[in-house]
Amino acid sequence: MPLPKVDAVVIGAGAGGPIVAKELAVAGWRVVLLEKGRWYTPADCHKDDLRNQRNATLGYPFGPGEEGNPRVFVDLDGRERVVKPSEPGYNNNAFCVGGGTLSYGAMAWRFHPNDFRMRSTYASKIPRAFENSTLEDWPISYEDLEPFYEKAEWEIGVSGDVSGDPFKGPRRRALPMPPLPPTREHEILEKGARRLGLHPFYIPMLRNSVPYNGRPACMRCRWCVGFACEVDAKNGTQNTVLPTALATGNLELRTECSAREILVDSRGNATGVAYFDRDGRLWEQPARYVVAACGAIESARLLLNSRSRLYPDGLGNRYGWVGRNLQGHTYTGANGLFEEIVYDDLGPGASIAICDYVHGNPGLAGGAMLANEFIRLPYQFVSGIREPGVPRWGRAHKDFVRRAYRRILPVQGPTQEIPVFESRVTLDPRVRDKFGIPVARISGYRHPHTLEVSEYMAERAGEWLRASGAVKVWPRRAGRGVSGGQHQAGTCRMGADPKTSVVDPWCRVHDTDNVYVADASVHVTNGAYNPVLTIMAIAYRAGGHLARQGRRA
Amino acid sequence: METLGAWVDTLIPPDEDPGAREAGVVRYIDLQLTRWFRRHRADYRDALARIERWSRARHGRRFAELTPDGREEMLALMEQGEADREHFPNGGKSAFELVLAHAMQGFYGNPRHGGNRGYASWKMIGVPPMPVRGREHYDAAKTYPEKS
Repeated sequence: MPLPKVDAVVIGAGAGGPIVAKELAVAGWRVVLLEKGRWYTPADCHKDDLRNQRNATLGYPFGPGEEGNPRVFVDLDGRERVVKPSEPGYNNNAFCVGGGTLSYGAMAWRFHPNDFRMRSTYASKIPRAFENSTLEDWPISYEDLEPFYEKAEWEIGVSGDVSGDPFKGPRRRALPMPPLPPTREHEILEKGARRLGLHPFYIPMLRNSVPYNGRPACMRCRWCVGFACEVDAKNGTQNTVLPTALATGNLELRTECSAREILVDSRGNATGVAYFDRDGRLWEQPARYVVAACGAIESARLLLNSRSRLYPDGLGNRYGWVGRNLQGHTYTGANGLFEEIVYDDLGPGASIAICDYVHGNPGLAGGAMLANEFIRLPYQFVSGIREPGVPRWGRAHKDFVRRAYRRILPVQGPTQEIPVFESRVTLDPRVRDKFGIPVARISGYRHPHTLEVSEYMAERAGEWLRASGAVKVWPRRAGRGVSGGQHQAGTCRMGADPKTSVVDPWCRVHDTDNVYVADASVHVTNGAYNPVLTIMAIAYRAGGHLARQGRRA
Repeated sequence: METLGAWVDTLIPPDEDPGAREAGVVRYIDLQLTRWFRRHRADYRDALARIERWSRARHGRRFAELTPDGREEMLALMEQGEADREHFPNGGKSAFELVLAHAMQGFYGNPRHGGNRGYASWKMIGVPPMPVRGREHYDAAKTYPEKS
């Protein structure tokens, strides 16, 4: 059933969508924002170690629901499985208002200037990173994004102190909030880093260290990454741009609405979106512009499901690039066992980072930021961290947990991945979701050079821990399988050439006048850092551009 | 129940701190078998019956009546997939892994799900319980004075 036409419909209320919606709504556009999940509040923080967005032992609290939302995962041996959200291979982030930003760890990194020019930086020096890869420069630079990084830092709210990072790109303005006071782990690792001649500093975080934007400061509990913040001190799109946009009266947010496809006219332009509401009724929302912001897996799925006579293989997919280059981050590092207690129960836990190994590593293309990990909740510790040689159960295991829980300090970092054309999202030919829509099928592998870099990062992490006083250090290594998960990116690559990309430098889908993508799908490469601030900056840039250049209905 | 209690107490034995049974792990598993782990009900019925039969055949006694060493030996064989094939056709590995994962969840997880009674494991490792919104942090040493 068609509804009254609006200026723009944005699909997905995660990191990117609400920012575009807000930029349009404050410019006077009439906007509808569709979100598949629900709108949760700080009261929905249950501090549940077994049911959160980082540990789905008893399911995900912030979506998707375990039933009716399957995906298909193809492993390295070509075996395929239908997977539910809490099962390995699903690569879940979150389905809810705020998306991942409701429950993330909230590191607020700007990418390094060289992260935008990986080909120019490494093509002549490290040719093996370019074999069987789609490693490329972005069509935009750090300088293009810099004003929008700043806007995200001030509008959404970032605390920290990056003045101690000599490797960062130029910036015009400091962060709006000071860092939280250092943890014990921070002090231990800072000494070790200085001993090695490294440059430690306070991680920038989308978290209030002081009251900001009418909400209080962090109370430093340990239920942070994976949880909604109980005191609303963590800044996501759900408690910043979205209330601003709704206050204009120009935005309508419709939750529990699942887009089926972007509707396209005979000239190849979008006319609106077909979606199912919570009761399974099918609606058509006509719009002058359509913005897909569902995350790298679901945005690719939506474009592929939007077939028409002009685009039989999916919208924007004339050259077969939609869904390609799926990437996330390859996390590696090391665990260090200390004689003294390093744990002080001060959330969020992650506090100190070094960017000495982000670029310029001998014989390698790229690298990673390294940081101490967020607080390890007890069950998470038991299921993930064990000293080599310690049994998995019995008296010795219990002794180990009792002795070591507060003495183990993990350091890790997100190795920048070398994109691979064969790592991808397609539509599964058989499996459908509860609305009958074909589901995402995820397949591929990590580039060998990614694993090489990640091994190097694990060694650097171990070195840092030993210099900080760890009496025993052991590495955390990565698997070879396709990456995605919370940092999923790359499936609708940004580029100037329509033959080798999906969207243009302003996030507009090539071949169309009025379809945009505003999430990490457009990332050419995913940086050596957590990607959320870059998603936000790109959304501000694309949304502002559309508000200025677009023609309203 | 008794068999499962002996099983999880072998995985996480009582010492100066409570073992799995005292910390409510059996209750955790029992509750979750009516909820999230409904699909494992048949697995549990099957595993408990098999280990009971194997124990009687091997030692002439019920599993719960064995010494801790006797129980440990049987579970170690299952972990290796080397339980008596007459009783565990696949060597017992899958049953062992299922109960091990659930025992650790029940012991170290959040008390809201029926395990970790009285914050037994959190006291053991020295982390405080949940803060009340707006209050100062609990100090583990003050909250559990017997542990400091």
